[in-house]
Amino acid sequence: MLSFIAKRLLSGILLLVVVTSGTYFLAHVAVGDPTPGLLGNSATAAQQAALRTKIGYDQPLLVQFWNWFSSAATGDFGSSWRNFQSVNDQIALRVPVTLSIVVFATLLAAIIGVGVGIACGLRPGGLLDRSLKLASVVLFALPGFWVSLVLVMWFGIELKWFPAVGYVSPEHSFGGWIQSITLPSVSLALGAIVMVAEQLRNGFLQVANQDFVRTLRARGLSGRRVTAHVLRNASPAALTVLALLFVGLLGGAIVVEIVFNLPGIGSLTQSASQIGDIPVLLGLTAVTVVFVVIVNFLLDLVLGWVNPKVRER
Amino acid sequence: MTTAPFPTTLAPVKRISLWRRYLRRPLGVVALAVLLVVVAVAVLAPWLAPFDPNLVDFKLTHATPGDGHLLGGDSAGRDILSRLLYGAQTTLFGAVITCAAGLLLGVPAGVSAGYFGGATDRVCSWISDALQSVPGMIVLLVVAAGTGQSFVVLMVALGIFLAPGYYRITRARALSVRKEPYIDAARVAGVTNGRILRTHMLRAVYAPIVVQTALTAGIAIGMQAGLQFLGIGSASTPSWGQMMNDGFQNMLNYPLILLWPSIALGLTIAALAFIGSTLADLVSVRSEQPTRRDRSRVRESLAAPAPGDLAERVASGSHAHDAEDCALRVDNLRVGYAVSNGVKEVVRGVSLDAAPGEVLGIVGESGSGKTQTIFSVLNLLPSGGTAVADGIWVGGREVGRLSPGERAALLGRSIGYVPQEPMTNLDPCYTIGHQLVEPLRHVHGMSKAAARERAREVLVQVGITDPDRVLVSYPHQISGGMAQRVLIAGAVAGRPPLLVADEPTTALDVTVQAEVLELLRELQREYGMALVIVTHNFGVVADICDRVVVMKDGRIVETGPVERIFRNPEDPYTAELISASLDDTESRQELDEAWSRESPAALDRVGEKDGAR
Amino acid sequence: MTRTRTALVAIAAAAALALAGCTGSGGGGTTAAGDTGELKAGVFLDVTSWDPASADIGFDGPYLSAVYDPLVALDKDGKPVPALASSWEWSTDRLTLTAKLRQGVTFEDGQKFDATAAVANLEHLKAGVRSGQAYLNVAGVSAKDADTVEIKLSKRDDALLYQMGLGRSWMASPAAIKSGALASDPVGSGPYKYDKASSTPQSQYVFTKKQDHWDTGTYPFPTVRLFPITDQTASFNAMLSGQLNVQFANAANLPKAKENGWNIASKAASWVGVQFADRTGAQVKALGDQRVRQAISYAFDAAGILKAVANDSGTVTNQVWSVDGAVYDKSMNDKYKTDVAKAKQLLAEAGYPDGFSVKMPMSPIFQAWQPAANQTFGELGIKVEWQDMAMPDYQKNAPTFPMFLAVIALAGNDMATLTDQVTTSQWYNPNPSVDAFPEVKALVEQAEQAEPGPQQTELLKQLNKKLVDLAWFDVWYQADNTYFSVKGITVTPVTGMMFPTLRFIQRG
Repeated sequence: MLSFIAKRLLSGILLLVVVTSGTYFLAHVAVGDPTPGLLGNSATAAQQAALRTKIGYDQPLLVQFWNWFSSAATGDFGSSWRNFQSVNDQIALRVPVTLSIVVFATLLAAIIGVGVGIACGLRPGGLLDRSLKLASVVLFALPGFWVSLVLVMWFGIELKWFPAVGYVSPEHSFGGWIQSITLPSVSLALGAIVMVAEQLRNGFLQVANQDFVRTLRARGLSGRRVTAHVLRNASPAALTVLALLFVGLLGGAIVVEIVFNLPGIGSLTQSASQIGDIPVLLGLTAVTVVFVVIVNFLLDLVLGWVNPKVRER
Repeated sequence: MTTAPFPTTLAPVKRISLWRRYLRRPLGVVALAVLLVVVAVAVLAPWLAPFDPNLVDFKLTHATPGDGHLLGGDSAGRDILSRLLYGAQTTLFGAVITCAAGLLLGVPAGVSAGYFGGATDRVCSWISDALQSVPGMIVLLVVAAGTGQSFVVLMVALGIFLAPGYYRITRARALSVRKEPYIDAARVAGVTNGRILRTHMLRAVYAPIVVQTALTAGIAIGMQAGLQFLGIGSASTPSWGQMMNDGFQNMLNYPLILLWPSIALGLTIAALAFIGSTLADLVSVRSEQPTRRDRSRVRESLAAPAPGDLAERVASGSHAHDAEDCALRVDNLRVGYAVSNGVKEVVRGVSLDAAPGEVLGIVGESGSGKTQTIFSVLNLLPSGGTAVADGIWVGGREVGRLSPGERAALLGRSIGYVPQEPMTNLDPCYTIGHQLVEPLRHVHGMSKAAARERAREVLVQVGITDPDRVLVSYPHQISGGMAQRVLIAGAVAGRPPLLVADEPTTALDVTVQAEVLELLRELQREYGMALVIVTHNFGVVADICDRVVVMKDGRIVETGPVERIFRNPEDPYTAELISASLDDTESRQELDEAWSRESPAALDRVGEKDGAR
Repeated sequence: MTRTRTALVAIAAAAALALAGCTGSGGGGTTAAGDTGELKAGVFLDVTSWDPASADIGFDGPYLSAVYDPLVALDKDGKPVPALASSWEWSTDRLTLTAKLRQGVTFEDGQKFDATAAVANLEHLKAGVRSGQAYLNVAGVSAKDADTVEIKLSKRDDALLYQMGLGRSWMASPAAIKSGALASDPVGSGPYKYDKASSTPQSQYVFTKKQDHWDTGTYPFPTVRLFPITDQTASFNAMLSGQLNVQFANAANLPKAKENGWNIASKAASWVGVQFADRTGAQVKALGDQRVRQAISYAFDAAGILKAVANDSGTVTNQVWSVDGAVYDKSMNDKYKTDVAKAKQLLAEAGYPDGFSVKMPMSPIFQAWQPAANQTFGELGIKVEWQDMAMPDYQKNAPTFPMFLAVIALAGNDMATLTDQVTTSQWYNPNPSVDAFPEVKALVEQAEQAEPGPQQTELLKQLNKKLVDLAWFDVWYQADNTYFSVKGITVTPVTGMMFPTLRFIQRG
């Protein structure tokens, strides 16, 4: 078990290093000299040079990389090239926002998606199953931002049930927090729900068609008890789907954060990439990869707990 | 940016037949037609478009449809219809680039990883996993910022992030094909790796790649629109995403500007999705779930004898006992499956019976319908299968007309079942103890302690020397022979008066086979059970059976006491089976093949997939 | 077959319904109109930095004006007016500015505002990466006595007070400047206190009014909430839903705003057109010929573009001096009235009857104008090869192109316009090329040396006319910035500020 954890941890760290370093060089090559973009209107050459010195851009790329890397390795991602504030502080402000909507959306997708998926798996070809198939295609065909905007129009502006834009942190008002993340989470979750349900249904059917299920029935077990066996066997696939979903939603959050004007890591990504604020972009990359590594690690642990074969490996 | 995990078990399908079967799906045909229209529009845009898509006429700004402009004008005063037609070019071009990038990266990597395994596999899989966990949107935004918004570069980058989808399905396919004997044969024959990869592997992964491409194209078009919504991409060439972005800016005042590209985009992606799901249904092992209408169609067809086929509909086989005295009696059983062009009958009028304490053998080749007969008795046919019989008696009681719930109540109590494949018939997630105790508690109403004691006792009875260790073991921790003993223990734990065993020794080592047969015989005597045993092997019959039923192509060719059948087989088929079994117990496959050549029907293993293999 | 059709119909119906929902939403937004107890303003961008030296002029005004007082403020016409500096005086050579400071002002941390504090601030601002550009001509700052500071210039700078008033003279506590924590924790003497506990940085900033502020009458709202909302649709949605009562608006939404009965305030903010970076013809010889530049100016249908792209929210003109200022001359606007025939004739005279080829940069935010530009150049036979790039690249690379589409901020001060648009090198004006045009150079020098007032204005008018004649720029129109506010709140826009400071948002 210990060696399993160590192995996963090492693999996670390797992934983190490879991805952030890759992004570092990609971003530097892609963005080029950032100072005109950062200073904007009417900056003189002298001011640009001053900024270059201030952010260390006048040094060779490898020196810059080493400075960044050695600092990042200690968990300090430096300061933004735009407002010179600590990248860690900025991201720390924004992580709760994105996590709120992504976790909430994942929960919604898990609860509803798993429920619907099982219901469809129990009655394949039934009305619910066919509706699911149609819904999955329709939601696949409608871009996420489209769905988000329609939700804002109806529930934010027309009915005024939820705020149309903005984020309220739970420390200020718990009710306000729930209200402010409902619409964004739902618009993220809609596509996810049908995706999870589709996969769960297929996974459920795949297990339900396995030999041991017939044998269990032949022993006289009730439908409910057999379903419990099927679910337990289908759960690794379901958990994998949810973990993948979480990663996918982290990326999908960008559009939702912009439509709902949420100060999350997605909208920061968008603005930082527009002005070429590389330290912020790298911090964001690292933080996202860390989330992914953590989620995958948790997934492995849970899979081990569910599936005795994996546990022994 | 997740791609839908794809069922890894895809049967290799020939191209032509796949294409023909596709054309039988109305939904798929409509979707394909929509896609073809979009492609045609893209190609013919210069001839179809009434105006230059970039022609600005300020009078046309935000214009409503009409006056020669069928869909009106956009916010810059350009004809929306013309832009929509030209936009199809850009949108499809982007999707093609993305798919090509994903395909060129994912497929070769997947094929080599699956074929060569080892380090190649580990490296490729790590990269694929890494790509899936990279926040793709961030990288895309960085790429967009740095490459001067180059459309092609962006779409290629998107393709790289979608490559793991291709990689995973190709690798899974390649992995399963790699295990096929013909690949080994080719290698032994000195065919080079390159040639094997080209000829065998690519053919095997062809179908799933087509499915994945339909999905990837849909995702690519959606992502393209999303990126353009974020303000990335060029406006000088018309595209649907950029038109939608324009629509959003004006959606409160001029909603039509948003509506047109939304419809175009939605229809195209939906068409791709339907094409993908139709293809997936066709190439997947999992058949389409039959509807209620299918089932009643099968039932009607089985019940009403077709005039031209009258002779075939008469029951085959005979009964040796009175119905009331039988442990099991089947009267004119028919089993059918719904297929696209009608009903496929796999059991065509079977009658047989077994008295308490009697051992009945059902012998036949794969596809002869013997396993389907057993499943009909249990009322556990695979989905899509329907059984109709003039009567099914269990323990002297007619049960054929009972409700499914009442039929299910017989299982475990009145009928015990021993499956063929020991390793796949135990739930891998639960301990053996749990799997034995659960039915005893919930079906037979025992207390926890009593159930556990009984489970231990029955394990000892089936010859397991360390029952306590086995009780806490998981299925993967015990051998196949032991697993079969566990399954037999599970079947007899509830002391059923009737035990049906479906090829109980086929999957076992030769040495273990005899032990298991011996065990079954002992238990049958001890419990005074009727035993119905399905087998392809007359050796088994000789060992254990009192009477035997010989089946072929869903009908019984011969019924009688074992000695008589061995001594004087009436049907030439029976004689052939006997000689094959006695020559070499392992020659089953050859025989199978011989018979398949002569009777093509046996090849069609509809419904047999869960039975004898 | 039928199922597919149903599905398709369902998709179309859902789409139509959803859109109908969008259009039908006009009536709902007015309920919050009466709620003017607190100011809830949607600002286009987040505050860049709370440190005045690192802040931007554009959209940081409302944020910084809440917590800081400026040394010099502007009135609505861009004229410098006293704030923490109660009065000032220029020396006769206009190289020394002596300012008297307001007394009795303390910063939130208890520090006193006096000459020492002002000097510390001004030195901090002069050294600032962003604020420094306002103090380029400042040689030194010194405290003459406890409430008098003296600013010495190395070169006469008639735009200095304007620049300071625009947002370059916010006074922060000297202790906070020294500690370096200003970027995230503002410490000023402004009319509001930043309520950090109730705020969610980057999403909502809450400020509560200080009752003892020296200028308390100018700030009517007990609470101010500022919401940075970049996405225009999101911002308008917030306004519709009543989450905002003041908004940096998109002119496309004017009809809806009128429907809702909101106050609409607009003022010229930037000029839109073609910037000629290569007026000397160094890169593209044709552009060195004034007839070619004039031809381009003749060719564009400026009124059509203004109507189509900017919803008529602006003024068609060919000048870079603000339409609200004294230098602007309305009578010159007809000079390049759209006339493609004339344009072609001019091109032919210049020796380019078939046009010429040129490369131009393009970035998403300029895409609205691209179709019109491309078409007009096409009519003249000018073949444009567009190079797509992101906005930072545009600012970086546009100056290297001979000409490019531009949206350039206007100054609210006529001398500042001279500096910003003509004489100094800017990203949008990489080659001032004044030296290559002796007549222009002469007028510029005269204006810079003239006595401020009518004489200077007259010289600037002559210069303006000269620049228009030379087709120095191809200005299509001056675009307005537009602000929506609910009934009961009025916004007074100020040219030069992308979003006005809080003193310009009043009840009424």
